[in-house]
Amino acid sequence: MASDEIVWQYIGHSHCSFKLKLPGHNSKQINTFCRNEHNVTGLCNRQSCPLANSRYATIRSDPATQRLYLYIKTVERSHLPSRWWEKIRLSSNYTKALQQVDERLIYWPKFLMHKCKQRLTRLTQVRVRAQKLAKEEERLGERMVTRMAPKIRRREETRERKAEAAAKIERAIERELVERLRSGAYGDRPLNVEENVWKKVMRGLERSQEGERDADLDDGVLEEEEEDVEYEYERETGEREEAEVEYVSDMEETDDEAGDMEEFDDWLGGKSDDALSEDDGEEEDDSGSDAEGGTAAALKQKLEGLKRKRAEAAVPKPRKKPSKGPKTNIEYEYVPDPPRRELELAR
Amino acid sequence: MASFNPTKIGNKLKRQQHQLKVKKQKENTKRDDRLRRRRTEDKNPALREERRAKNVPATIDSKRTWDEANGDEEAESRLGMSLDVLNPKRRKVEEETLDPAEVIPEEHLDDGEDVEQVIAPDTDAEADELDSMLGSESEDEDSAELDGKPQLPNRAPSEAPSAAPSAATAATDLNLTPEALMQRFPSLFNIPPDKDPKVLITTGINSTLHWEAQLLTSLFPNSRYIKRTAHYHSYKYSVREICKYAASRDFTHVAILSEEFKKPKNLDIVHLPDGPMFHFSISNWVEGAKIPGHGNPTNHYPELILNGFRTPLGLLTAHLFKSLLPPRPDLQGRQVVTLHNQRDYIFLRRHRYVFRDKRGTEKSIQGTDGKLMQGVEDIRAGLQELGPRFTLKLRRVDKGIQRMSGQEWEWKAGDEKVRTRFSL
Repeated sequence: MASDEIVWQYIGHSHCSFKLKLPGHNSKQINTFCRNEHNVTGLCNRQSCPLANSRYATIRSDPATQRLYLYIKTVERSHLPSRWWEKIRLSSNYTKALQQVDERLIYWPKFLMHKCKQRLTRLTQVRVRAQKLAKEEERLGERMVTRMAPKIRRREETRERKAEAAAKIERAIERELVERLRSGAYGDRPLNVEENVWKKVMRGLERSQEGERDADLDDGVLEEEEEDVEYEYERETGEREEAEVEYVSDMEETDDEAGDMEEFDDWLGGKSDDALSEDDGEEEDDSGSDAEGGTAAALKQKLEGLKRKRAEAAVPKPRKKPSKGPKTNIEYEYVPDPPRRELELAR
Repeated sequence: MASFNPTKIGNKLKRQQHQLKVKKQKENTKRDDRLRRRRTEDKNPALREERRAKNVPATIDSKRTWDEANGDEEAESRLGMSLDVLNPKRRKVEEETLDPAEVIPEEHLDDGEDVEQVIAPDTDAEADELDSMLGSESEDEDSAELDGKPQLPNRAPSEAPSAAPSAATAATDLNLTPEALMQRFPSLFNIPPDKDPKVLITTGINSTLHWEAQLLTSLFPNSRYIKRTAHYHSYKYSVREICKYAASRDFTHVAILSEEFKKPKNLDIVHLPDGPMFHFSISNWVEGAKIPGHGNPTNHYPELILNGFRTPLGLLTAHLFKSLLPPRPDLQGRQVVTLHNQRDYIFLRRHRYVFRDKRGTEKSIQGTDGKLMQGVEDIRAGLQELGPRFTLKLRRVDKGIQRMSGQEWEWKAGDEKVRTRFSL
C-alpha cells in the first residue's frame, strides 16, 4: 500500500508509459488519458490508475466471445504480479451481471464499484450495438471490398494496357461486322447498308463463288445462253433462280404487287417475286432470329441454299453492262419495295 | 593501326565522330541489304512468303497455355480450368473417342481457332496461328505489289502487312458451348429466344454514381435505374431482397454498380431468379462525352459482338452478356455493343457503324487467318464511338446471390503468375 504512493508520485507527476495527453475543447485544456487496458475510467487519476492501486477492479470484454469479465486485483497478491488479476466471468444478462458485480465488490470503495458498474453498462451497450450492426451487415450482404495489394494493382493496370494494345478492338469490330454482312446475317436486303455498298458486296460474293462453282456446272448450260443479257440484274437481287426455271417452263401472268415490277416481269415472263419474297421472308425470319450474337447454323444453311440456287444459274459472261436504258430504271425502282415488307414479316 | 580500340579514343570530339561514322555505316549496310532483298523478292515472291512465314513474332496470345483436362468428363462444366472449348480439333477428339483429354497443350497452340459463324470458304485450322502477315512490319513498307506496279508517290495504301488478327480475337461462336456446361447453368443457357431482357440497375447504398447509372440505362435497352436509400432512418433493402422483388416483377437481371473514390469500381450482375451472380471490376470508365469524336446513342436495340471468349468460364460470361441485350437488334439503328475479351480483360465498346467504300489510302480488311476477306475487298466499316466505354474483369462467380451462396469460381492472384495462362 505504501508503495502505491511512491508509484503514483513517480508516474503521476513524472513519466508513465500509458499516459496520453490530448488537447481538449478549449485551447487551454489538456486531458490526460491512460492507455492501460485495465483502467476502469480511461483517465489518468490517482484513483483510476491500475498501477498505483494495489486494490483495483475493472471490467473487460473478451474480444473473441464478446463476454464480459470482472477483473479484481487485491493486496494479498501484490507480490505475485503474474497472478494479480482475478478474472470472473459475468452473466450475459445485464441485471444479473450487475448483481454479480455487487456481490463481488461488496465492502469495496464506492468509487471502484460505481465505476465498474458504469463500465459494465457501457460495454453491454457496445456489445448490443455491435451485434445489431453485424446483423445488418449480414442482411445487406457484402460491404467490404478489400483493397487490392499495390503490386497486384499495378500489374493489372499494365496488363490491361498491353491487352488493349494487343486487342485492336476497332479492327476486330470492323472485321466482324463485315463478316456478318458478307455472310448474309443481315438478310437479303439489309437496312443498315447503303444500296451501292450492298451491291458491291453481292457482286464480290458472287465473284468469289464463281471459282468454286465452275466445277459444278452441268445443267445450266442451255439456260445460260438465253439469259446472259439479263443475267446480271437478276443475280444482283439474288432471287432469280426460281424465276428462271419458271421462265423456261411456264409463261404465266404476273401478279406482282409493285406496279413497277410489271415491265420487269414481262420481260422475264415468269412469276414475280411473290413466291421468292415469301421464301426469302421466311428465311429472313430465321436469319433475323439467329443473327443475334452471330450464330452459324442457320446462316450456313441459308448461304448454302443460295449457293445451290446460284449453281443452277448461269455462269457470267463479261460483266459489262449492256446499255439498256429502261432496264436500269427498272432495277432501281425494284429494289426498295419488297424488302420492307419482308422485314415486317421478320419482325 | 594495330591496337586501335575505337571506344578508347581519348578525344571526345573524335570519338563522337567515329561513332557517328560507324552508325551510319551500319545503317547503310542494313538499308542496302533490305533493298537488295526487296529486289530479289519482287522477282520471286515465294521468297518473301517464306521469309515472312519464318519470322512470325510470338505474342502472348499465340503462346497461350491451357490446362489439361486429364480424362475428366466434367472438366468442361467446371469452371476452374482454362480449357480451349472452341478448339475444333479438340472437339473432334471428344466426339470420336468419348475421351476428352488426349490433348497436349502444344497442340492447342497450333490449332486454336474459333469457328466463326461464317461458312465462307475459309482456311485451314492449322495455319492460322502463324500470322504470316505479322512478320516484317517495319520493313517493306513501300514494297511494291506482286505484279510489280510502281508505288504511287502520295496516296496509295500502305502495303505493309498490318498486325494480323489471330484466333484470340475472333468472334466467339456461342453454339459451341459444351453440353455439360449448359446443363450446369440451365437458367442462363435455356432462355427462350424471344424473351427481351429487363434489367434493374442500382448502386451500392451510399453511392453518388447516379449519372453513371443513368448511362448504364442507355447502354442496356429496356433497363431501369432505381436509387438506393441512404437515409439514416429508412429501411435499407439488401441485395437479396431487391433480387426477390425484381424477380417477381419480371426483371431478368439486376446490375449493381459499386463505387470507390466517386468512380465506378465494380459491377455485379445477378441473373434472376437466384441465378449465378457475376462480379466484375471496372477500370477505365470513360463517359461518352469525353471521347473525342463521339456520337449520341439512340434508342435502337444494338447488335452484339462477342470476341475472344474461349474457355468454359468465358462462354458462360459470353452467354450472360448475350442475355443482357435484346435478341433482335434494330439493324437500322446501326449500333453495336462489343465485348472483346483479351487476356481476361473484357473491353466494352459501343459504336455506330456504317458500311462504306474503301478509300484509296486504306487497306482491305483481313480475316482471322491473315488473308484478305474475299468478296468485300472494297468495303470498310466506319465506326463512331458512342456512350460509355470501360473494361471489365471477372472476379467471382457465385452460385446464388451473394458470397454466402458459395462460389463457382473466384479470381486468385496466384492464377496470374504464369503470364500465358488466362481464365476466360
